Amino acid sequence: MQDLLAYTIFGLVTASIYAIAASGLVVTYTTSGVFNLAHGAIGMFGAFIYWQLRFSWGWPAWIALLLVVFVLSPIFGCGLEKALMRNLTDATEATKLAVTIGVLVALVGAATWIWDPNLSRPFAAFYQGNKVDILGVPVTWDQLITVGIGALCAVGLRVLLYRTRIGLDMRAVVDDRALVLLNGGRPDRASMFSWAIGSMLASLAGILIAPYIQLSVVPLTLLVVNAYAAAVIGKLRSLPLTFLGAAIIGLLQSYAVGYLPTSTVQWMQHVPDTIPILVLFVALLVLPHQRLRGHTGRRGRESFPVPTYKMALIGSAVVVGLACALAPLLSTQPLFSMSSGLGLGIVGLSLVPLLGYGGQISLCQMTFAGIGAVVYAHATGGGSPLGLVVAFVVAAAVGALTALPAIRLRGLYLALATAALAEFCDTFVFGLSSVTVFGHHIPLFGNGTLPAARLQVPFVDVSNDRVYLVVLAVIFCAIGFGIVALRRSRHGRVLLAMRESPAACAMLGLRLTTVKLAVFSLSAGIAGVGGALLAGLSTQVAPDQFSFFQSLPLLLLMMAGGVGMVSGAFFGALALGLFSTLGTMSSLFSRGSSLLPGLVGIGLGSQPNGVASDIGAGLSALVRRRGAQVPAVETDVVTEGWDEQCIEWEFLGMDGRISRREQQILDDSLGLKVG
Amino acid sequence: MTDSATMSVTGRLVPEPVLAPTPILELRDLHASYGAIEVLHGMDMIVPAGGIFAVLGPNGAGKSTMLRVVAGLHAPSGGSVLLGGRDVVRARPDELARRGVCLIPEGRGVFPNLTVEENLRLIGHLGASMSEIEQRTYEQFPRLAERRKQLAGTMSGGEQQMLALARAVATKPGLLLIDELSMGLAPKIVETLYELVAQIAQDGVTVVAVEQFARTILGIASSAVVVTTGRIVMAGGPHEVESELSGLYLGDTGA
Amino acid sequence: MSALLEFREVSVVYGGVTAVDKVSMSAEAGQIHGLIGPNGAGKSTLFNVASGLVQPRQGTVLLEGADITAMGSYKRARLRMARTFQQLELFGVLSVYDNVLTAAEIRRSWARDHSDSKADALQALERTGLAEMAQERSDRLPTGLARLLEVARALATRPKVLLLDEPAAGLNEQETRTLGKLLIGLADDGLAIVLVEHDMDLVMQICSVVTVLNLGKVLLTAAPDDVRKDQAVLSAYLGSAEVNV
Repeated sequence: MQDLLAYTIFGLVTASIYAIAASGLVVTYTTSGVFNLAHGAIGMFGAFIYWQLRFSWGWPAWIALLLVVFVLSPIFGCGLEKALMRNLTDATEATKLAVTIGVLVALVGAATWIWDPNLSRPFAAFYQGNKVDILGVPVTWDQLITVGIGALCAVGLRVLLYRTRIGLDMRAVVDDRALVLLNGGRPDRASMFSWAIGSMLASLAGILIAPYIQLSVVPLTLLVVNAYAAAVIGKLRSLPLTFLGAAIIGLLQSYAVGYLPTSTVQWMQHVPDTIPILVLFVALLVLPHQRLRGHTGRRGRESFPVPTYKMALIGSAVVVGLACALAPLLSTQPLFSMSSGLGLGIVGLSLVPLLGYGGQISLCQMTFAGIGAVVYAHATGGGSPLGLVVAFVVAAAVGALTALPAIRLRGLYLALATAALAEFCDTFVFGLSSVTVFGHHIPLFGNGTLPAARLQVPFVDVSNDRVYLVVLAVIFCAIGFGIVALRRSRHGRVLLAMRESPAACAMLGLRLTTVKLAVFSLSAGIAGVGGALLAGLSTQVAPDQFSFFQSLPLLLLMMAGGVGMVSGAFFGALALGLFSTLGTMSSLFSRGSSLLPGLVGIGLGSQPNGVASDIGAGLSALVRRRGAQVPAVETDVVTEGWDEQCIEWEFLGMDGRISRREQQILDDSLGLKVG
Repeated sequence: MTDSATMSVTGRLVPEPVLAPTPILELRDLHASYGAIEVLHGMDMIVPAGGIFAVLGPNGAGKSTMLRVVAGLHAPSGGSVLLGGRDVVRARPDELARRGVCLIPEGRGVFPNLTVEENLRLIGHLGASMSEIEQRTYEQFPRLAERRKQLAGTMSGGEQQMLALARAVATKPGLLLIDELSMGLAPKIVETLYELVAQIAQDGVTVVAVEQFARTILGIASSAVVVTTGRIVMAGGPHEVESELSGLYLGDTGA
Repeated sequence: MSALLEFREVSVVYGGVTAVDKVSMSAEAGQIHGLIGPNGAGKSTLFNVASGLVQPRQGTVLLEGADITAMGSYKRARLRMARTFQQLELFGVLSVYDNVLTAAEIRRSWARDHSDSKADALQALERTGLAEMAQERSDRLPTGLARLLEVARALATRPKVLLLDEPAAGLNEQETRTLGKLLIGLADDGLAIVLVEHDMDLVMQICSVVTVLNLGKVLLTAAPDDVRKDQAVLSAYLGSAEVNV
């Protein structure tokens, strides 16, 4: 009985923290329409700043707390909204997510840059050491404070939303953004306020949870996946349900710690950590989903030209030629960086059919790569090419298996489901030494790292790192060629058609499930091959190489390169290689190595097509300039020539034209009637 | 020159029932397009201050687009919109709203998840005091007083439109633009709503109403225009327009 | 001729509001069936019920006598029902030709025959008069032509039942006339066509039967000439004149 009470109290403490984090997510998402994947990173950053003020500089706790939560966080949230999120209304779901992932990765980069991750940072809880006795269970003051703050947040949010003017505005914006504008209100202000609130709650959650786990960057950032579960239970809209969800998760997790034989049964050790992730997955699956309907979401601005075989051949020649030329010149470290960039580029290629053509978001490509790597390491003794085939097949099968339940999800929900899968593999599967399926014993990472042989190619000495770079380049091009062929085939057209209009595809007799399943397995398979080749590069496999967090910079750089094109993946690979080379040049760079991809991701907000298509367009413009005259691009004639007539109004303060963002909202919600 | 509707010192559009000719709203050669497609091909229209001005015509004729341009929601590609003699084509919708131009958009004039009271409270943007608004509104629309704590979305369609009207009136507009008030409502309810509109007009608000129930609106309108394919094809008194109606809606001879 | 597509007492309720109320109607092979009514009458909802995007609260939908009420959209398409969308649902990044070709290829994949998709696509483009702009990107088309492309894409699946949602909106008179001829030609080929359209001249000219919906209910099903003379229809469109001021 005493135990039960103790675990309940501890469960409520965790639940309070999840609730604080999740309610911030929900408030921001409903009001501004952007799901902030960087929520955890903001919390992490807040906790670090608090540590700096409180423990490094020795400020009083309450001043540090007030400064971080009530001053710095809202300023950061407002800035984020004004600088980035405001311009994302007409972006696709993928671009929105990419920008918030960019913020996440950049914050992680900045934090590791500022605070050396190799130092340990003790983070004492409030009033550490003080305890009270509740029915015979010792409870720390800090735990009481946390539960109290959780309750206070629930009440505070309720009062804010239902008793204040700005809260009314926020709810009105959630209801009908366009109508707010027509009533003379400013939806942007409500959005900005919601970002401020969201950031405050994120920081608060970060500071409260830091004493329970170590103050380290990535775990603190990804802990927010647990809060996603609570938010999803609240259908990303309802705060009371979100709090309920947080309570369920916190209590379940605490009881699992208490009552599962985690210390005696070895594989159970990490089960309690996976509970929020499992809850997230289940909640996503049982949540009533939108029926397929016409006109889902916005059409993207993203567009990529159809690749030709001629261009693919030229491109391949350039890539292989570049690899041959660089291989003898580079020294060991840059050579390794470029090779691993190319290996990651192959994993990145897997995103081209999936996200670029099919429009399906996945945040777990590195997880599939990890599966490919493990399979490859075990399946081939001497690095036979057959190992790549097995890696492809197994990764594809796992991809299909995970896609099967997630297949009916779209956009944001699909992204969350794949994030849950990646986290599940990180915290649980990759931590196991082996799994047993139907009596077959399948070894995994064993005790940490796994040796992997390098791919054997006839007549070539692959043990030479320089040769391996060229081998990687050739394989990259071969897969790239296959993807170009796919795009040019009817399957490629079907993928694009599915991205453009699922409803129309269904009405043409296409079974969307089959197509999604196929593209998911293909993509997972390619990622698996990439993982296998990466394993061969370093001749050993470690689980942290293939963690959830590793998928994020990869996704960003692929999108920045241009995820609809094979050449985009090459630019992504090149950038990964270069960034990692920079990292080897100075320790400062190596610590902040994710800062650059993060900044690149943030830039996606204004340039969703990526560089490859721009470079391509530039090249073809050059070619055309020499040939025929390029037809003029249609210009925006709406605004020109109106200035004189508006002078009188400008005196009255009516000079501001409606912004493009507002126009989008209005067109969307009022229903654009053309006729 | 004396304006029948002028900008007062504070910039609000104030109707002044005087004899002079400057109309409250005037469209001059108005063009508007969505992307490459032009929807309004040079529309000229004069709305005198006071009374109800009916805009009729088949679907897709560009009536709603015209209202959107006037309310500042859509930038025209040519021509001008004069409010009380001033060009407002570049004004923002929220600023126009604060200055007395109020649009009730088609079929979505209320916030469904806010209560009736909260729906009214949102008007505070425009500087009116809440108690005053509530008092006046519930006096004019007693039905809403009974439902002040109810979520707007749970009321009947007619009551929702009544709330939309009430909210519009509470902003004390100079010019009230109404888009298809009757959408999806039974004829009896539409009649009740237009009785309210007629009252609002009698209180001195100029109403421009886009409406497909032509007979209903023509019964209370002081003048009317018919729009087809982005142009005004007929303008005149309600009786002149009414005699031509059936042909316009159900097609000419079936030859 | 028997009914290819039939609605029996279909009702649809959206959050307490009855959008379609016990509607029965049927479309027969070789006929163009007009479906008209004021805004918000429930025409598009009925199309969504037919194509499986909306589940009716009550009633059944029959295709060639078989109950398809609970069937997925793609299965209905495989029973050779095709539709166009009022809010365009083109594959924007694909060319005009690729839009139609994709449709023909999807059809071939489920029909499992050895038809020539390219020939099907070209034929559909020629019938709709879009062959000239085959290489144009479809999101650059003006709405009128984009709507024709929706028709062409539907035709590429060789349907028996064709549901058209305002195909003439945004077309000029010449184009509308061409569309009218095309539809008559298709009906002569034995298709059952249901046409939602606001261009009354077109509806009255090419439809053999017209159903008028108002406030979710069937007001009248009759020949075009009778519809035009009907007083109830006129009031549905024009409202009553009984406002007491």
